[in-house]
Amino acid sequence: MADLRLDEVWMSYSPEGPPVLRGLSIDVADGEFYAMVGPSGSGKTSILKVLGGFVAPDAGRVVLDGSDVSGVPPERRDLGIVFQSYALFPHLTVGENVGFGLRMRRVRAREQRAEVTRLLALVGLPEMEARYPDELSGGQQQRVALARALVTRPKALLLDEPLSALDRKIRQEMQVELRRIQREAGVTAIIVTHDQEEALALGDRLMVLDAGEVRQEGRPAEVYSHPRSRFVATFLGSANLLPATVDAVEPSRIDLGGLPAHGLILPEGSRTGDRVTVCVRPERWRLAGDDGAAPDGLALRATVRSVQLSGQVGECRLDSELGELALTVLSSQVARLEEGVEVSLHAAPDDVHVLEEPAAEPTEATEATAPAGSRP
Amino acid sequence: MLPSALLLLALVVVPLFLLVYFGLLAGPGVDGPVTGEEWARIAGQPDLYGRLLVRSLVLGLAATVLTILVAWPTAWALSRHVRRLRSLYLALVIIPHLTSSLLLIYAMYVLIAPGGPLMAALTGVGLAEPGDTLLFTRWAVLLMLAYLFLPFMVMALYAAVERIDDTVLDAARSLGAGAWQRFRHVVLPLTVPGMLAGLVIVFTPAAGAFVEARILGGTDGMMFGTLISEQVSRVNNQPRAAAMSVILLVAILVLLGGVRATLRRAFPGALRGGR
Amino acid sequence: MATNTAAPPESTAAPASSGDVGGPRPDGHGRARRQRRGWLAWLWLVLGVVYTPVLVVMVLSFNASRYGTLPFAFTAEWYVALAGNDALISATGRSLVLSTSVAAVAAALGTALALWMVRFARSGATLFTALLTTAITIPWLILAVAMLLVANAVGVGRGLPLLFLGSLAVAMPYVVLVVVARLQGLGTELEQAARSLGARPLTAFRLVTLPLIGKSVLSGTLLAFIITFNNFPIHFFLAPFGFNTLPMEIYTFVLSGYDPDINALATVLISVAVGLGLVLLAVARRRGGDATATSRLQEMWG
Repeated sequence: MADLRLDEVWMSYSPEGPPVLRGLSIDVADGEFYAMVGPSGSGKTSILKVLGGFVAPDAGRVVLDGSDVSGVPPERRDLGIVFQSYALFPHLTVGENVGFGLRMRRVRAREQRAEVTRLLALVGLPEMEARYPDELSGGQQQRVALARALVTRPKALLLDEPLSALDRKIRQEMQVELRRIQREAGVTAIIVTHDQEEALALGDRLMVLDAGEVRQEGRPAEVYSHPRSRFVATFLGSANLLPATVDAVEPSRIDLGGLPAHGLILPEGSRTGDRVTVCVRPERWRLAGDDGAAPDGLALRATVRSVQLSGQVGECRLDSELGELALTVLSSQVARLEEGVEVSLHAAPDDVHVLEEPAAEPTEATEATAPAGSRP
Repeated sequence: MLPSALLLLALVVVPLFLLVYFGLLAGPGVDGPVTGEEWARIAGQPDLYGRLLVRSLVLGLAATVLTILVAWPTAWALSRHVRRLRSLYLALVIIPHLTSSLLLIYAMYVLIAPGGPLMAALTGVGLAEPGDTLLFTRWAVLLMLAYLFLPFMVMALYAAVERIDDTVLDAARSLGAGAWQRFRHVVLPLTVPGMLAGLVIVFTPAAGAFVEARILGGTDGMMFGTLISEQVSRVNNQPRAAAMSVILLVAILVLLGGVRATLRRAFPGALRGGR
Repeated sequence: MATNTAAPPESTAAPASSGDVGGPRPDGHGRARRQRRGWLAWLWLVLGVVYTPVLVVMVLSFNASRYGTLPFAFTAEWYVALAGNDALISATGRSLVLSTSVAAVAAALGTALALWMVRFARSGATLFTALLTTAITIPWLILAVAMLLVANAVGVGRGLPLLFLGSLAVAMPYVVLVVVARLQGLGTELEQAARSLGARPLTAFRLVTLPLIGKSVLSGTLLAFIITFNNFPIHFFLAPFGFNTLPMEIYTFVLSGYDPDINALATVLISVAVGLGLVLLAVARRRGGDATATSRLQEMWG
């Protein structure tokens, strides 16, 4: 158990190739569960490879438990890794898989057996020792991989998209299990994932990664509710992104194509006339009665175009003077929102985020993150 | 389906079983009475038949081990260190063996003949005396068999090595396994099925070889197969050829079974289910 | 979206300053390259060993000495002699005719058996697979002796029909195994899709399945040809007296020792094989990429 740090790490896979990690720094505290989330190609797996020692960074340091491990090979880094494919040894039983790390360290056979039993109990797979990996379900394989990575009491646990191969239901179950096991083992853990829900649910702290750089870092709730860029706003959850201009700085006034919004917090160093993007999470709109205009925040009227019910919530599309808007309400409220109904929407100042970047020119209501470089 | 089934039945299965019967007849043809005298004669000369049988099996095994030693790193290099030109290299290893094996035996004959290029080179560096030769020794036969069957082993091991997932090796590393331990505990067991497949396709024909020994072996390298072929082509004692064929086949099968059982005990997880 | 090609911003530490921040460390890229070079060297060593005997014979085929002795003096006379060697030429012709006809019949029968095994023979398929594997793994010497003795017992004896059938029985299993592997990978959905679009069973087979297994039928046929061409034990025991195939002819020449005619013949045959092999490989690469070429070679040697 230990803290773990990356210092200004640059990395590319070939000397001529483009850098995959660009001066990346992270600092994970002892016992913390740190989640890194980003789209494919953002460098998530590369970070794990650098941390694990499988790839040497071109520059920068990897610090584990206070000492620089940059030149230390993976077999001597003392890290537990859970691979995306689990990478269980197909020719070894569950017990032998879990005991592998101890065997490599020449731990006595009796201790090995005791530890294997303890770990299998911890991950909830007692009495599976004699099975082979291909006789287990995906969720069970995942638990074996976890037990195998933890058996050596590693300094830290690295998890590479550990739940991506599982069914939705088992995945949610495993999220809870992962947290429990990490707490019980008291181990520092780093998880990389492309699944925002997983990152939000698991991490004590969350980092959003894009193109090899840290975009935002903080407590999951904090990052989710206060995105600082359009990328973060759309990658974690969905967002209404509206183009706007700064009208006045003190007190703040923002102009959304004729519609004013008061009392918002502006990015530092904003000046009158700056072009910005205003971001509102779809579930943060409040359906206001006609009880008069709210003094602060953003208020407008819109017409319901379509409603789609998905379990506990309903997702609505609305037409407004600002273009198309997305609204998420609890399903109990859906009944009020028939097609063609006009509603008043209000977002409190705390729920309206002003992002420094100007919006892309053609109006974008809710932007779906398109996979980068999907052209053949 | 019917004609092909009949063909295999009439020309492979039935003849193999009939060999047992033919071996019991009195020679020289296969129309004599059942006496079993050939079995008695074979049993009466253990220093000829027994010795040659053992030599055939040992030569076959040695050739198999030799091909594994050469083919394993070759398969690994092909699978892990050559990307674009992989099939070219693979083809280059195989292609000479697509011509007649008799030509390759002849080429080896020329290479190792007294005064030939190999002996000249060995004499040049002081490893052999002038006049020394590999020709007409069992070493020549061993060399030939390993040379002939190398491509088969390369293909078998290449298929096995190619199937090993790289992340499994990374996993072993992260668990503290150094290079030797990764080889010993992960890579090697995972290629055991490939070695077993290679064993079957190399050892069987190598132990049953006869032309190689006839041309390159002389008396020192004579094999059991050579003796069988002489029984048919020169001596004309067909029951004895049949009895000897049965002996050779059974010996090969027993040895294969023994090796397989040993490997299965040594690598229980790698050979589950049998193949 | 991700601008991967952009240069690192000036404000951050450039890779050049790695020495003072990171301390000494192995250069990952360089080590990988050195390792790769070592493995390539091994590969070339193996190729060198494989081609040494072949190259020696090729060089000697241009050497004037009748006994292969040095010094080397260039001549083409052995090729002239080869062209006049009627025994070798007619043996080559016999081998070609035998191998071609056996390969053709093996392809037809083998493909039919493969289809039947995959499509109709539920439990019989395992039995057949065992049978075919046996046929492939029994030493050819023993198979040939067994076939000859049965023929003798029946009273047929050595002869062209026996030679043909024996060669066929040995070569056909290879076709079956290659085609079965392909058919199993293919499944039945495509043919069912064709049926659902209105194709009759035979039409569906002709338009969908046949083109898809065509390549493996072809490589199976090629394999059958090569095996028949090389099957010395079968020729040796089953061919009628006086009907010498090429391997038999080479055998008799070789038993009498060094022969410059054989050098010339070996050079010609091996050059043809290498040339043909490389051409086939190039065609396969252009058509289906590297993966297919490799898997086809693997298929061939399954």
